[in-house]
This record gives sequence, structure tokens and C-alpha cells, in this order.
Amino acid sequence: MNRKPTTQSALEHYRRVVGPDPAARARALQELTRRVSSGEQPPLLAHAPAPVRLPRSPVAWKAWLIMGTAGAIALIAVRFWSVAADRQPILYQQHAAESASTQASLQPSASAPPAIASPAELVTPLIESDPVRPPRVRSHAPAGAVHVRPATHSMDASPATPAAEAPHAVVRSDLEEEMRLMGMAHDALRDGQPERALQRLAEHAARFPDGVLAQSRQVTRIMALCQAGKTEAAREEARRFLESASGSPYTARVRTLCREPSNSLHPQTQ
Amino acid sequence: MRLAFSTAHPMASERSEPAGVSEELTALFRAEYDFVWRVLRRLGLNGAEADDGVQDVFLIVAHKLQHYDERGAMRAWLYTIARLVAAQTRRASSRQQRKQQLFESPATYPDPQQLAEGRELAQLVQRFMDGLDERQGTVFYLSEVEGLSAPEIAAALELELSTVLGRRRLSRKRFEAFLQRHSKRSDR
Repeated sequence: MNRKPTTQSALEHYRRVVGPDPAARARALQELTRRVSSGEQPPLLAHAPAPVRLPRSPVAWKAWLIMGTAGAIALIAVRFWSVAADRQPILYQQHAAESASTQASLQPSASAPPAIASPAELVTPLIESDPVRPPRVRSHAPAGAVHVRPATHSMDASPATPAAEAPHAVVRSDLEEEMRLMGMAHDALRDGQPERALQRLAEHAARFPDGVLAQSRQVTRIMALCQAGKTEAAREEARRFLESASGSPYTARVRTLCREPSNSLHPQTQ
Repeated sequence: MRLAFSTAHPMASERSEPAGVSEELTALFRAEYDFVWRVLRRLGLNGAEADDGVQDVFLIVAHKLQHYDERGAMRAWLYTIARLVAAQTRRASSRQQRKQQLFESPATYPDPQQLAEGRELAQLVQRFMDGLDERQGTVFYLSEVEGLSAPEIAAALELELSTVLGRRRLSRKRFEAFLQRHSKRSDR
């Protein structure tokens, strides 16, 4: 803070007037040396407070919040890009099928070779095990072949159309819910309430065990444990995370969690 | 100010053995003696009591320093120890008497004119802090007089960081306004 000279000088004078006699410091140090060397036990030792721990600075939390938001936006963007990429071949396939049908009607010869391959030969749908990902059709046909969806000359008639749309809606609302829960956990951490954050994270884990933000949840949980003073538990979870997710973008951050700045007794004053 | 010294492993067992007058303790004493002494005065001890209190604070530190695990809040920790020592040391004399004794300590001003001006400004600061309630006054004192950061104050007083930031912002505004009012009165 930029203080006016009057303010600074008033505070400086206060420190000087109320401060101890500088000459007394050397005497006090001698006295302390004598008492410590003699093994004197201070009377209040049993009640002495343990070293206190700094809360996270708001700047750090803001940085985490920004990074988390940016990460979530990137995830959403990747998800939509993936969905768009899946839909593009479907539209192309429908157009190709309609063209083939038209060509077939113009060529009355029954011996003519089919312009397109049989759907059963070309299309092998593989539905991914991830429940939140939309089912994706993968073709094992040779390059250049025209892919045709089975019995899909009309989108309305296709049973695959609603099935493909519904999971997208689920993904969107699930992701929003995940983000909401994670946001509440981050808010709790920012407010210095790690236990509340842990509750939110547990709720997230129960509802979305394999959610999009599962790794983010693990990292946030480690941070919450650190802030709650459960250092050993946090380090154990961090170790497990590093073992199971060695390629995660969070690994560098996880390695620094629960470690305090070295070689410093207290941080720079603000 | 930053000090560098090695400490025991965080998982070191809790023992009450003095760390000895190590270089670390000596450096810490030299760096924080004034801070601890002023805090003890702020907490209501007179000059002689503060002298004794400083000894008690650093005796405790000597025994506990090996358990300090670089958590970055040394001043906050010293404050909590000083608060304990001050609570035990307070005598029967009233708080008002102690405030009057606050300016008894010798100052290091070269001439009487400077000394008088310094005392006047110091008393102005004291008057301002007396006008604040205890909670806001303590935050103002630790922040503006002793230069503790908001996280350190939050740790020392066991407050939410947002609470400390709010009290600090408000007390700074009030202090600026207080000085302006005083300066206008002096100009008349």
C-alpha cells in the first residue's frame, strides 16, 4: 500500500518511541544464553502453542480458480469438438446413401454391381465403455469405402438419432453439475473451510466417480487435506495420484503440495 | 526480513529439550527481539515486564524451535507465544495505567525537539488505536506497525483471511481520515 509520508512517519515514530532500548538487546541476549545453557525450563512450556500455519494467499487461490475455469472450458471445447467430429461422417453417410439410392433407380440392370457396400460388411459399431461419452461408430472398412448406416434413409426413422442426442444432453448437464460441485469445493477452500470442501468433493466422488473432473477432484482433495492440516493423508494421496496418473498435467503441481517454501521463516509482508 | 536456517524434520517426535543457543536462535532473537518486546507492551505489560516476557517467549522458542517445520509463519507463532506469556504476566494494575506507562521507555532521538515531535506522533497513533475496538486495533497494529502480512495475522489470531483483509482495509481508511482531521486541526 502506498502510504502518505505523514502516515509512514507517524508509524515509524510510534515504533521508535514504543520500542525497546537498543542497548538492552545485547544484555537480553546474554541473559537468554545463560538461561538456555543452564537448561532452564520455561514455566509455560506445557501450554506453549504449536507453530502456526499460514492460510493460502488469496492470490494463489485466484490463480487456481482461473486455471480451473480455463481447464473446464478447454474440456468442454474438446468434448464439443469430439461430438462435431462424430456427427460429420453421419451426415456424409446419409447423403451418400441417398445418392446411391437415386443411382440405383436410374440403372434398371439387376446385374450391375452395387455402388455401395453392405452396411453389415462395413459398419461395426463400437460403443465405448465410458458412460458419459456418446456412442461412437468406428469403421473397419478399407480406405475410400462409403460408409452407410443401417436402414438410415430418413433421420426420423433412425433409432440411432435420439440415442446419439440424449447422451450429449446428459454430458452437458453432468459436466455443469460437476463444475458446480467443484466450484463449491474451491469456494470452501478459499474461505479456509477445508472440511466443507472435503464434503463437496466426497459428494462429487459419489455422483461422478469417473467424471470429467475426476483428476481435478483428486488434486483439490489433496489441497483440502493440506489445508486441514492432515499432511500425512495428503502426502499419501499425492503419492497414489502420482503413481496412477503419471502423465497428468497436474503432476507438477501435486509434487509441490503440502510443501512449504524452504529457507524462509516468514513470507514477505504485504 | 527473511532468515534461513535448517530445522528438524516435520515428523520429528515431540520432545521438550532446549535447542541450545544455536546460531539460528541467536539470529532469530536479534531479528525479532524488538517485535516481541513491542507486542508484549501492546498486550499490556510495562517495560520491566516486557523485558522478562521477552526472555520467557524466547525460552519457549528455544525448546520448540526444533519442531518448527518451515511453515512460513514465524512472527505469527511468536505473537501467539507472546500472547500466552502476557496473559500470565499481567499484574493487578489496570489497563489504563499500562497505557500511560507505554511511553516510559527511552527513545533514540538525538535532540529534545525531535523527541517531543516523535512522542507526539507516537501518541497520535496510540490514540487512534485506542479509538478502535480491540479486534480491529489488533489487526491494525500487527499490519501497520509490525508489518505482518494478512495471512500471518489470520494465522496468529485464528481468523478467516477475508476477515483480516476487511478489518485491515477499514482501519487503514480510518487512520488516513484520522490523520487528515488531526492535520487540519493543527493548521488552524
